[in-house]
Amino acid sequence: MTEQEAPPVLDVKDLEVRYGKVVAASEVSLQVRRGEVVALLGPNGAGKTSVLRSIMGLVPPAKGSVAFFDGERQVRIERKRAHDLARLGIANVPSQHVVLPRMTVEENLEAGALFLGGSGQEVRRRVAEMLEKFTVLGERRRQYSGSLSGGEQRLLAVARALMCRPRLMLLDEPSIGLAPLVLQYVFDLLRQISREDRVDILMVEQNVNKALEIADRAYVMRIGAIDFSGPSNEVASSEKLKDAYLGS
Amino acid sequence: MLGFYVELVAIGVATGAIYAIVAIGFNLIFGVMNILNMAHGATMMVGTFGLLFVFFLGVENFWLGAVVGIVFAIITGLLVERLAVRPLKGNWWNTKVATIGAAFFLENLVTRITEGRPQPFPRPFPTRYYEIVAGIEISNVQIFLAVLSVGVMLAMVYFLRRTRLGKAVRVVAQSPDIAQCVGIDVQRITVIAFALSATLAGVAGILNAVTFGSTYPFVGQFLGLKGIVVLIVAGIGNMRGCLLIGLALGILESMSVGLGGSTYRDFVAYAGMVAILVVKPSGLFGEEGRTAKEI
Repeated sequence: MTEQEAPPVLDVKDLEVRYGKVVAASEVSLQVRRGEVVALLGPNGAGKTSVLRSIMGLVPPAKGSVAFFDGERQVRIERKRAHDLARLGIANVPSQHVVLPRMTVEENLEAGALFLGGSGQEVRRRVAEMLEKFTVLGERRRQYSGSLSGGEQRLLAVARALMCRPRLMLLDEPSIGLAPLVLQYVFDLLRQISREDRVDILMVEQNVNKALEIADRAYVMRIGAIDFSGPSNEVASSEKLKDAYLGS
Repeated sequence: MLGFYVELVAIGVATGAIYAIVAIGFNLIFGVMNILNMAHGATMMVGTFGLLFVFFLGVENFWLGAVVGIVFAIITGLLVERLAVRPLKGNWWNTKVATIGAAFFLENLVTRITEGRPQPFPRPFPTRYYEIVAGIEISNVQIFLAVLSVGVMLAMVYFLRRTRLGKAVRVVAQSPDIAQCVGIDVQRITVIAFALSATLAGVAGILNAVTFGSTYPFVGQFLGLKGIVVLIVAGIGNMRGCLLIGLALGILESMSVGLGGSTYRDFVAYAGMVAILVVKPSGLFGEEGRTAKEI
C-alpha cells in the first residue's frame, strides 16, 4: 500500500460534541493525510477546541466516528480515553498549563515516555536526543520547568510529545502567550518536525496567518460546524475567511 | 539530666516519624486528587483492629497480624475511594463531607463491634532496655519504632522519585491532563495512590498502637489531626517537608510533655501551626500559592 492509497492518518466523520444539552459542534468531518499539517481555524466559540478535545479523548463525542491509521491498521478511537490515544501514537499538546512545573526539564521529557513502552535506557537516550534537538532546553535541563519562559515551556511540551515518537500530533492553540519572535521559532519548528520527524499535525489555532503559513490545508469552523476548507493558500485568499471572522 | 533529654528525643523521633507517615498518606491523596481524605485517620484505626482480629482468632503472631491489619487498611482505603470519592468526581466540598461520613461510619461500626472500650495492643517482642551511653537507656521497642518509621518514609520518597509508578503519581499530582496526554491512566493511578496511602495509614496506626500499648475506635481522629498539622506546616505537596516537620513536631511534643506536662502537648502543636501559618501561609516547605486554605 503506497502512501497515496493508505487511509488518512486521522479521519473524522460527522462528529457531534455536546456538553449536556448544549451542542458545541455537529456534523464535523475532517481528515489529516500522511505528511500533512492541517489547521482547524475559526472565531472564538466556533467549536474548534471542542472538536479537538473530543478527538483527544477528553470529551466523548455524542455522534460520529474518529479513525486513526497507525501505518498498518485503522483503529476507531472515538470511544478510547486520552491515555489510550498516547499509546497508539497520538501525541497531545494542550493549550495551557503545558508543563509539569515542579519537575525539571529532564523529568518532563522522561514523563513523555514513562508509560509508552521502552526500557529506562531507551528513555534516557531519547531524552538526550531531545535535549540535543532543542538546544534551549538542553541548557536548562536541570531547571524546574515552572521557571521557564512561556516560549520555552511550549517547546518543552512539544519535545515531550515527541518523546513517544508519535505519528500524529494534536496541538491546541500553540501560539497562546508567545512573543512574535518566539512564535515564529515555534511555528518553524512545527514545520520542521512535520518534515523531518514525519509527524502529521492537526492544530487548532487563533493566529490565522501563522497557521496558514505552515499548514498544507485548513478547515474553517463557524457556529459549531465546518464552514469551508481547502489548501492553505486558497483559504488564505478566500473572502469566506474574512466573513467567518468578521461576520457577514 | 542529659540522659533524660536523650530519652525525650528518642520518644519524640518515634512519635514524630509516625506523624510524618500519616502526613505523607494525606499528601499522596491530596497531591493526586486535590482532596483531603478525612477517612485517613479511621483507616489507621481499622489497621490496628485488623491486627487485633488475628489475635482474637487465636493466632498470636504480631507480624502476621500486622500484615492482616495493613490488608484491612488497604481494603478500607479502596472502599472509601470507590464509594465516597469516585462518585463525587472531584467535587471538593462534597468529597470532604463524604469522607468525614465514611470516617464516622467506620468508627461507629468498630465501636459497635468492640463496645468502644480501649483494647490492649500487643508488642512485636518483649521490651528490653539497652544502655547506649552511661546512664542513658533506650528500649528495643523505641528503636524498632524509630527505625521502621524512618525506613517507611525513606522507602516512600524512593518510590516517588525513582520508580516508574511513583513518577506517574507525581505527574498526576501536578497535572491530570498532561498525565493523560503522556499515556498515564489517571483513574488507575488514583486507585494506586489510595492503596498506598491506606498502606501508610495501616503502618502508622499499628506503630502508634505499639507506642501507646492500646487502641480504640476514635484513635484515628487524634492521629489524623496531627498528620494534618504536619501537612499544613510542612507545606502541601512536599514529602521531605512532611518528614522533617513530623520529626520536629514529635520531638517538640515530647520535650513539652517531659518538661511541662502532658497538657502542653497539643497546645504546642496547634499554637506552632498557627504561628507558622501567620508568617508563611504556604507552609515552611510548600509551594507559593498552595496554602492551608485549600484544606
